Amino acid sequence: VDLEEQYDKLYRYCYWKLRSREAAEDATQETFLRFYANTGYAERGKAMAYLYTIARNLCMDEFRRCPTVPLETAGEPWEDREAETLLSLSVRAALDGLDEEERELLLLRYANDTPVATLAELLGLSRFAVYRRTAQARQHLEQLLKEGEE
Amino acid sequence: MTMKRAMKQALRQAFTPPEPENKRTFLRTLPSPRLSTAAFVRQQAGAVRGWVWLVSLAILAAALRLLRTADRADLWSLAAMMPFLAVTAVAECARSRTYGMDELEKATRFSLKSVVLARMAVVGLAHLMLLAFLLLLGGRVGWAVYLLVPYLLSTLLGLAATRRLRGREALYGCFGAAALVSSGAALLQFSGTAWLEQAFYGRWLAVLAAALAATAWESKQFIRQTEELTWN
Repeated sequence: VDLEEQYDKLYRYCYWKLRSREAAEDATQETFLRFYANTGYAERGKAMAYLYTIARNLCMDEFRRCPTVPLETAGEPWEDREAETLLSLSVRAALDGLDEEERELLLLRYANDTPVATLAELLGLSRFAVYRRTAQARQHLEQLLKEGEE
Repeated sequence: MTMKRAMKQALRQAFTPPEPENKRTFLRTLPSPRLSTAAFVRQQAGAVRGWVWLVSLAILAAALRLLRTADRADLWSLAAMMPFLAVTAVAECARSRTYGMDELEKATRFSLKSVVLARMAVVGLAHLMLLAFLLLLGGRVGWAVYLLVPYLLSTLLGLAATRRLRGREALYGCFGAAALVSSGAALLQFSGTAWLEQAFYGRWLAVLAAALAATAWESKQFIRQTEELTWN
């Protein structure tokens, strides 16, 4: 994973935790600075799990400091792919119905393509528990989508 | 159970945040830590295979035994051992080629070129120190020429072989070169001419200079073959 890809994934993660572009960008950059301040770790691999851990802690601190920030409207770069955009808009609406943990799992697993082993390490769960909770979050999301259609 | 592709795509899109504003500037100025040269060389020294050090130590032990008497006949035996010392260095530097990993290592974080250079430096310096230790201990610094000539000739032939051969054949080529030089030393010893007399010292020096230049050139070619893969 190159630096830019790491940045994008962390920024996405922080954005969905903090719901503010500025705060997410600050948290992402602070994550990198803290990561590289610990030079010993940088040579040992598993960088992404460590980066997520730092970002998670930073987001928690930020959320405690300033808990209510409205979600900004993300860019809409898919005007020419109407079907997908409509589905993604429904999904976005349904995501708000999920709890924080479910949203975090779906983001990390499906939007950031985080391996199950990394997720297990990050969330302090067994691999089996990660699979189970991800499936539950997905089912909950699908249920909310069905309810939205009705 | 796998998620439908459209759903995955929709999730990815739904989680898309607004474009970050300062990403490029931040990444350009990010002070990412770099491994120091000394730390890198130390790391590579640790990766040198154990048998390289074992063979070197075995040759040192044998040489120390010979140096007790320190006569001319023993010098030939010492000279005949040097090619096998050289072959350990060449085999270590050509390890990636021998096992067919060179193409992969050309594109890894530490490129093959820097790894080979670091290992050449580590093993080469260790051998030079070994030679210096031997000669100082025996009080025969002048003998350095007689030992360096077979060492460099074997290195030269070994590098040439590994540049032209691949896989196990390269390793056999190295050992063949070492055996050739070693038996050459034995032939000289029994040729009936006193090659180690002072009269021939100038010729030894000339051969040493030529071997040094040829080995430097061959090393350069060898390193050039390990240049990183470049795209477009």
